[in-house]
Amino acid sequence: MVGEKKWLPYVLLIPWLIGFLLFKLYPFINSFIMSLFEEKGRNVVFVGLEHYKTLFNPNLWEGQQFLNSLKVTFIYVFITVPLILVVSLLVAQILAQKIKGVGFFRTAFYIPTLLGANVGIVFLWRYIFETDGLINHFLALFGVERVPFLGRPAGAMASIILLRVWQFGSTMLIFLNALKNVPETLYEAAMIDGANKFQRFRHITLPMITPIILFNGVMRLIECFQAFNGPNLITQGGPENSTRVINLLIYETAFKSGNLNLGSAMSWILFIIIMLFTILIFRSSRYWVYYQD
Amino acid sequence: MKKILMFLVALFAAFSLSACKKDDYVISFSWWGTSDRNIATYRVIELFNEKYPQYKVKGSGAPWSGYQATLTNQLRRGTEADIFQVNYNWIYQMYGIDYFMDLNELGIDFSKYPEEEHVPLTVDEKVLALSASETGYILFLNKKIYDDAGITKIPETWDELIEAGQKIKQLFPGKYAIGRLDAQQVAILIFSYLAQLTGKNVISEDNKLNFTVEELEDGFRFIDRLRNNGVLIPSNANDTYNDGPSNPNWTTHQNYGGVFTWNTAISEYENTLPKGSELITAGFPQINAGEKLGMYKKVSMAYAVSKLVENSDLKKQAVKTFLGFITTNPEAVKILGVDRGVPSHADAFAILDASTDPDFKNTNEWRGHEIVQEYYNHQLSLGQKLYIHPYYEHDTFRKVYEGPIESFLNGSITGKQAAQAIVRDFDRELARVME
Repeated sequence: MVGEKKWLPYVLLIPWLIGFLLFKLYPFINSFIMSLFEEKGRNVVFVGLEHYKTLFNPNLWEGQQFLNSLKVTFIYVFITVPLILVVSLLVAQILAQKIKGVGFFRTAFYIPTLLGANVGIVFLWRYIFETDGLINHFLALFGVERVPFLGRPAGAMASIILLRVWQFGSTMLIFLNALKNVPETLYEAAMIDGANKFQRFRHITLPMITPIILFNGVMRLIECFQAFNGPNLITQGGPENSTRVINLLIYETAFKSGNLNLGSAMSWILFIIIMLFTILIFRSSRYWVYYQD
Repeated sequence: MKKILMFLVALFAAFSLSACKKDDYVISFSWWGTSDRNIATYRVIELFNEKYPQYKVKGSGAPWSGYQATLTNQLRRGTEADIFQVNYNWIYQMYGIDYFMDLNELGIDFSKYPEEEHVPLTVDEKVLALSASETGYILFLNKKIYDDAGITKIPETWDELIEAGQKIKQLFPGKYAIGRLDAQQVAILIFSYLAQLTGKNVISEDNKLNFTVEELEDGFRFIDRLRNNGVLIPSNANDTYNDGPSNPNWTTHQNYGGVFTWNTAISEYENTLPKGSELITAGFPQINAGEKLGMYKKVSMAYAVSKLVENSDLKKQAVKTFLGFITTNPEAVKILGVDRGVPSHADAFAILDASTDPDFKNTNEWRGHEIVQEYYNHQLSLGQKLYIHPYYEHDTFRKVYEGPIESFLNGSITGKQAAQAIVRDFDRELARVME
């Protein structure tokens, strides 16, 4: 009977396997092959690494666009990821305390994550940041001139970063769980030794949750490198390409302009960048991540 | 067991054969459009299916957003509809020569289409699409704002438009004679103005930018005049709604008094105005009164047929019948009205022209069409033939001029810098997309 059921796990894996092969592995390999070709109508020519060279050539239009998107993406990622980690850790630290109505606050802080960057939220966001939006109405009460947040590169970037940081719920929940798993005895011992709140946080909490910081950091880094919804729906990459992150440029190149080959090359460069940063973080983790076991 | 297997094989074969035969009478038609166009097109399809029970047309209407990307992918995969609506420049951008059927094979009478609309859709003597309508770039005004300001005469010159802007600005701070135009709209406005000054097309016959830095600077100075005198908003950074028809300053607040747009697109602006508002077709302002210059027109949208249809005579017949129906059947033509613009086909035009109920000639699309034709013919009589180059609106190439114009409109760069940036990249990038 036991022998007869040995095949069952494999059968149950089949749907996932089919999905993985069809929707992950095949497009993954195919996109690399496509990046080596140039398609003009039905005329397909092998061009090798030509698309990759074009993308790093600042004298060509595609190169200028791509290098700009690269810069925009780095700015977005390296501001957003630390902000998400700091904000979610701070909020988790507060919610880890025994305060009244904590359940409500946990839910409230998680709601933005559930809402995501959908069309409704984007309208709300526009309403907040527009020249005649909520913030400007508020500023006007104090006689401050209207600020065109979405019309200026820095303001537009700030608004899409804020939208992403606002959705810190899942990161916060993971931190919250980690904070609760820090043994109370460590804090008690530190208190006996006279450690104040900040010292306890710096020398006990932080080291104990470094594996979770690593996990959250890597996950958010990958997510932010792949940002699309916010920039696409709120700013459409503008003003003046200041929020045209790589994923948005890939979409426009591959699907709007119909250049799937160049879009595939961009995707592979993005993949390599994400992989390099992930490896870098994992390599560095041996110097700053503390595993209890 | 063997008998059952044989029965199943026979059954499968019978199904396959009948499916093949039936499929060839079923054709698909996809298009993009607003809800008005979708409703009208579905009604026409229903009517066709009733009148021609031997065929069946399956319609698939879509909004503008995403339609182009979907069609591009469908063409690569061979899953496109049998008939699909295209924009003029897609014939080139989507390599229509490879993916669109040569309509000569259908034996359609092309003499019913104006030559200037038929020729741009013909590549290497292959007719790749049928023009549904053509369109020109003109000015429409929100009557209420002009009435409130006591302006009764429609501005005929740029100076009169500027005067109107000054008056509106003075009486109603925050309101404008026009308001916000995006980079795409300002580009064609600059090029139209420069055509009035010089009589030149944007792109020369040898596919080069026809204007110098100095000439383009003139164009930017002209936009500055409009911005400084209450015609356009001073900076687009103050209003980032790129979609003109849904901009609250156009819809709810009615701060914007007009729009320059293609006459086939005016219903989008009309539909979003509050009930009771009225849009007036205002033609195209001139440098000197009485002139009729600077009018660009192009094929607005066209019907293309999938190259895959070539493989089946039955399907070809069904496609030809449907195209004939949608472009010439009196009932169908009236249902579609001007939802795809004033029809190009001579018979369809005559049907709508003669109609009194509804009176299509009373629409902004029709009035716009008449102005476009009038100005265009006047230009021809002067030996000026302005045309939209097939790659002018290419999605990669257009960023070459729209990018600097956007920066100029946001106040990030000067007109001179924008002109220099356009001249620097224009010819090189045009040559690259045309390769």
